[in-house]
Amino acid sequence: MRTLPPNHPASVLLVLLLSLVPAQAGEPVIVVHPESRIQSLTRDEVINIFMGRQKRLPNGTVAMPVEQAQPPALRARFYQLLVGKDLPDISAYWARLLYSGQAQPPQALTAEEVLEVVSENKGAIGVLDAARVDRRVRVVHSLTR
Amino acid sequence: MLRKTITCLALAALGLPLPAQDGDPRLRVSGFGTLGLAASSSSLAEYVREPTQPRGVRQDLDPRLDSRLGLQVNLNLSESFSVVGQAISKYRYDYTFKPDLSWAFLSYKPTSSLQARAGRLGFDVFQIADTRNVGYSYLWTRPPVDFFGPLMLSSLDGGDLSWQGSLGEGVNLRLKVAAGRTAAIDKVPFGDAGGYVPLGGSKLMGTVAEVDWEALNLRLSYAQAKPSSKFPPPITDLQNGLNAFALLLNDPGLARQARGVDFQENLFRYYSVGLNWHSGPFRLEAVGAQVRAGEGPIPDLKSGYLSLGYRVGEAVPYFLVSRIVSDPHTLYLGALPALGPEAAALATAVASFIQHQRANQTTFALGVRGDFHPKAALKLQVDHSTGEPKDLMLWLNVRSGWEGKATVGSVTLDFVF
Repeated sequence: MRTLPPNHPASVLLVLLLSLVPAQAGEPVIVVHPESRIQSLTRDEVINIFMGRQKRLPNGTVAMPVEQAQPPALRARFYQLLVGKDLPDISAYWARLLYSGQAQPPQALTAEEVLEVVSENKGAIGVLDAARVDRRVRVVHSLTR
Repeated sequence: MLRKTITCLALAALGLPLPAQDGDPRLRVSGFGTLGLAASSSSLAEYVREPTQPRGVRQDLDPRLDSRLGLQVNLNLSESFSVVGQAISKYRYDYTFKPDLSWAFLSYKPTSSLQARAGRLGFDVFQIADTRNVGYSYLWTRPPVDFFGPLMLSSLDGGDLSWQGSLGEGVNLRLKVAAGRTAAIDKVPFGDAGGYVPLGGSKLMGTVAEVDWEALNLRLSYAQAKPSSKFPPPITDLQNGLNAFALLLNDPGLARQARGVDFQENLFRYYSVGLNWHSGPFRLEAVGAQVRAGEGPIPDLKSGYLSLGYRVGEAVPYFLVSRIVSDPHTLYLGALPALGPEAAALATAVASFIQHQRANQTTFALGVRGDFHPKAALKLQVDHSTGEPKDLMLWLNVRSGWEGKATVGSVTLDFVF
């Protein structure tokens, strides 16, 4: 296959088009403590917890939602798949809930911190890149399946 | 760094142990703010965002209209108990930006669906009413003035109880009742010397039912307020004058007007219905409200707005139309206007007071919100208002020649931290 020179207009266009696709977004999954009695969560249950509507997990434990904040493309993909909204809209939504004293947004952490917090807290529930899942947590919902 | 310092100071002030590391999940210190500039096409009347502002915008660029800063502390005491405190600095009745305590409440969540709060709370019976100072949370440079102008009560000293539950199929229901007295921070400037009409202490109760279904949010609400504050002399003078003439002329109609002027005989009832639809790039918001002012010369009001926006990348261009209508209540003045100069002067003063409780206008606005940063947005908006020039609720310091028309341009930088 003939490759285009890097400064060829078509390859510039290709690079531009590729940059619009969140290439390394990853696959966001929902994880809980491995000894949690929760085996799976429905999409509605995930929405209720991560959009601040429900403060407890379905088993009654007080929920402690955390999310992997980097890369932003993973978060963007998570909220796009969950509620069809862009990140600025999610930030504005949380500003309304937080500053009216109704609810507090999930804590933004690194992937490793999500793994640590979820493996140490029975009520913790995290958004994590599927590629980072290990034995310390259990996947209870996948957004892409 | 600044936030860490504030966090430590707040913890120390509360007598709590300082956090061993960053990110103590028990305590969250955060804030919001707006830096704004606005200018109007007219110098014949001043445009205000809320009736609590003592001066409004004329033809010069003015930062006071929209600029504000808020600081909030959330302290999670246990799994069920938390405390929230919030202070807001904005241009207020006494021409200063002195901060007021907007929230200070204890929240108790015994179950997943119940929440009880007590203390100083946001009164959120009206759509976005308790976040009207958080510019970052909405699309526009400011909430529609035609709608929020008369709905100025923001904080409640009392309690509320809310229930939130899933009805299945992705449908969520929220019910709430709130009762208490309006907080003393709501003051409407009166006269030129920093005087004010206090709105605090009025008995207030409200209820709201809210349904969320996928991208749709529907909201029905009712509130009632019974003013109980003592008004300053210029208003009580009107009342005393009317009462004196009511006795003199043996005219019970005038006595009724006197009671109405004082507000205290009035039970204000607020009805509101709102719809919010936000799906993908589209967003639509439509809200209507009615205020019934009871017997007397204070007019009933109807108001509403419709907002449409569409996200294109980081920008959301939007269109907003809002309207307020005052019912043509007839002010009864009996034989006053023809009873000599003193009575005529009183009649004129009462009529003028009532004109200040009236508004009839429509505003069209176009704007764009740009989310250039994860925690900040830049907005540009142009409003064009056309209204009845004699009705003065929403305009300050009106000069002769005012035709009830003005175009207001504004730019704001809204942020959270």
